[in-house]
Amino acid sequence: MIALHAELRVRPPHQDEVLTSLRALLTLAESEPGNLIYAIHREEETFFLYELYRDQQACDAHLGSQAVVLALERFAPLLLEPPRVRITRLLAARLAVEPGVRR
Amino acid sequence: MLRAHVERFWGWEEPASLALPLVTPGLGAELFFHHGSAPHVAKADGSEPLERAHLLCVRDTPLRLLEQPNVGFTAVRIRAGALGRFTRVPLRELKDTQIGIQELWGRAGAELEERVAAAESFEARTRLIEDFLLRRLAETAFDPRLERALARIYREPATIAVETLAEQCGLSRRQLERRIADYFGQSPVELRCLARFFHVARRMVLEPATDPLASALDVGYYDQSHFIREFKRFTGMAPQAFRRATAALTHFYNPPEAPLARLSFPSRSPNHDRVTRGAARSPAAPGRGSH
Repeated sequence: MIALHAELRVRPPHQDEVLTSLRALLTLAESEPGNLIYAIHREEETFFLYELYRDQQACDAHLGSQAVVLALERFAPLLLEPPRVRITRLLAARLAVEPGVRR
Repeated sequence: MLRAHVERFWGWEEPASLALPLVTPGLGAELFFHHGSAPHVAKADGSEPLERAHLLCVRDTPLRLLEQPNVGFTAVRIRAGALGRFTRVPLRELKDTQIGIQELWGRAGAELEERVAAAESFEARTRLIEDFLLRRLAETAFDPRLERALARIYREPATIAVETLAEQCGLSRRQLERRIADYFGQSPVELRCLARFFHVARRMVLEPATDPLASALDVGYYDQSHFIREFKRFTGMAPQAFRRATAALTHFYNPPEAPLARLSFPSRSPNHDRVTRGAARSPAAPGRGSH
């Protein structure tokens, strides 16, 4: 399994807009069988994404989708600095997601 | 400041083997700092190692990297046309090269490479690279007229004429051609060819159900043979072979150029096409190879 970690530092006036777009991407991820986790976190002006994919191909399918490419392009002027993204392999995990925290 | 010229910082850690995709021609450039095993470029007669810290430059010929074990790197994706903001070396000298950081930036580059290699986290590495790039940005001269000209070539590849650009910049056609070639490494006409290629390649990746020839005619190719000839020049393969190959590409490593999205293609296929395809494909090949 492959994890993708992303950090987006967003200009204060655009934070709600970016969060709305991220929620839309989450909905998209729900329709992708290869996506296992799509989590959005926030600490002040920084949004952290944690995405877990079954394999590289599932990760590619998500990143290569039109919605993701266009969202990244739309975000560019709303950010304080370039996004920071890491791709790593999952070493070990306990996965137990409560239905109540999906959204 | 940096986000106008840098698309993203990104890193990859993969202890198993990773098949690196074809680096297709483009105007973007990418800085790599490898801390895993050293990458190799595939050559007709074997392979050639790359410096651990290197720049993959603006190019009009594809670059093939070998499958590599123990992948670990931090990378910086520089936006199309923005490399000239970070180096005084004329880009026409850098075109189609993969140059070591030390060779490109001298002692400052060597120091950066050393400090990045000694840093212990992705965060620390990206901060070091960011500081370095901000200093280069502050001390490198640039020409906003040429940057605007490039943006127009990208957005209007089907219609833009070099004379129009020259007029807009207040230069003669020959002056503009020379300055653009120095600044971006390619002539305006070559840049327009690249932009056309990119628009079509991008659409083939994002909307695989669309007929590539229809996209090609939209961006200014005269006919099918013109399109196929150009496509082979840039990728070494025919459009259909490229389409099959991109089904397995890592798009993030080799992203479509962002500015292309502003061109409005007539919509011929549903937006979720790509996703449906990905979803349909995945169960057929779970855990492809060692990924």
